[in-house]
Amino acid sequence: MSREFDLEHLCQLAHLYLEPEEKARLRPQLEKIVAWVGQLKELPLSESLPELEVERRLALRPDKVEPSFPLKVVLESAPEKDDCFIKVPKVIEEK
Amino acid sequence: MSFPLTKLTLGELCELVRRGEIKASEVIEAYLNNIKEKDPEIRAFITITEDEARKRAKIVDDKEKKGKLAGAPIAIKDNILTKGIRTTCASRILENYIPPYNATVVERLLAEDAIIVGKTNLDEFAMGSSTENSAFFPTRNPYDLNRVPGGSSGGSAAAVAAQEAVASLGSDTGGSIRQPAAFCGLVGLKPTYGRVSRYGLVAFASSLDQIGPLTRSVEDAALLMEVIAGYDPRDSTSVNIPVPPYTEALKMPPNGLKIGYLREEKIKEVAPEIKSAYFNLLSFLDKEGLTLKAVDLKLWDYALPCYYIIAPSEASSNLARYDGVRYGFRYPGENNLKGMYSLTRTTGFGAEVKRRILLGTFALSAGYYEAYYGRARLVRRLLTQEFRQTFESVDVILTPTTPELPFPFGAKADPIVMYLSDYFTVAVNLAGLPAISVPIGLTQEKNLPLGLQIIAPPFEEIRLFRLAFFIEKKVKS
Repeated sequence: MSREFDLEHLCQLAHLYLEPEEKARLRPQLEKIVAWVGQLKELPLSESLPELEVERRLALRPDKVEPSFPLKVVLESAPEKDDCFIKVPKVIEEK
Repeated sequence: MSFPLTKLTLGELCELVRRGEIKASEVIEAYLNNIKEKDPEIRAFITITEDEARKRAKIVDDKEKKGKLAGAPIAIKDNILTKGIRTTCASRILENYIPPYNATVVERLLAEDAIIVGKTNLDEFAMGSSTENSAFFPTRNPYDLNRVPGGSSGGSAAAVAAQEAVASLGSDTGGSIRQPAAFCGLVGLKPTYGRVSRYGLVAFASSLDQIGPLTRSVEDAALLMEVIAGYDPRDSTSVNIPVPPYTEALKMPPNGLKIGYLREEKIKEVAPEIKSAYFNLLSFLDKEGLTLKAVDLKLWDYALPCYYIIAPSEASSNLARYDGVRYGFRYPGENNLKGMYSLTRTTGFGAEVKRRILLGTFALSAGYYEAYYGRARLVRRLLTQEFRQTFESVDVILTPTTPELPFPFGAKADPIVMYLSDYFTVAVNLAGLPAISVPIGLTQEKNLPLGLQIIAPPFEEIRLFRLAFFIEKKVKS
């Protein structure tokens, strides 16, 4: 189990940074949970099982322009802003 | 009035306000006093909306034609958006978030002249069964301050049980309304998936989440459902079928309902007090002439592992939006974008949320997706099919709500042991069914509340209300 559980990689995917002690605590917990949920492998399953109502109901709304929140309201929630823009750290790295 | 206002049920209270016999302002003052007196110990609320509540009460008092919920002090779980009122999800990442709009359920309550008294505590992002995972503080069970109120809607349950609100709204993804209702001696309803709009409910696991009421009586739950249920074009999973008059349905005795029950071996791990209450109730229903039939839900044991793949997978995707860019907390002073994302999320999320995000990321990651998420999706279909077949021979299924009584703080440090608290409730969410937890009295020794769960086929909430009302009458007599 520990071989397939690459916590480093998962943290990268989930944008989480964990201290070594936190990793050391989490790893056995996660491995135990993954082994526990693995009991579903006991069940014989087929793709032909009827779809769930919730799977069928994922309807898209009509592709129609509708009013949304005004920019001023949206910007009020932003942690950092400049004029009418949300500010973020520089995305393009310098060479 | 000599009888304390805070003892009245939602129905009684609103009727008196509508008839002009009491003022909404009097009701609100009585409840705010109770909050001031009790909440420093119970800690049900993250935010108390004292000023807004007083203002609203005045508006309601001045109205000539008052709504169905006139003057009712309602508490709202803090993962349901309230315009201009801080909504935190009990998380550091949303600690100072003030939503620009109301959830549909909140709009519907306000349109009927209900009054919001505050936002209640929960396990962070509704992930937990004890309210101990709140980033701010744990909530205490009003029946025993050394025990948890259940979770994740623990604040919503404790507030109503301690008479700090006449009723509350919670959300239920795997048992988060029903388990705290059982732990705090309340009625708690998880409606059919699609019955109540999720617009403005902060998403945890979108295919499982539903909003529902926590109340002191079955009638109150029916009354609240008449207000909050119904189609909402802003929630694409909300269903466009009429809302039946639930309060009228209570008058129909449950005669003719066929009740499915679990055999003793299926509930051998359940606390003895709950087990005996369960079988006592079954023999009462039998004496009352209702038909009982043992049901054999073979897949029940697989519901929890299935849930703990599906819910964290959806959560890992839903919680990806908390990156410190558009709203919520941002880690200050970081000059690298990816570094800012990671530090914001690492500082902003608590341990259980991180655990579930990582678990979900694993179940959805390349190489494991089919083996975990894909398989869980099929198990969910199988489980739903088993329920459908079971409901061909019974009208409702009666089970305990929880395997145990309210437990002391810190009793469940192992995550899997905590997850097992939802043994009887998660299958209902996976199959999208409605279910109600109804209180059936207190344990003799410790005076702790006991609750049982009734499950019905989709959109058959009426069956739940009829049987729950009948059981409630027997318990109160």
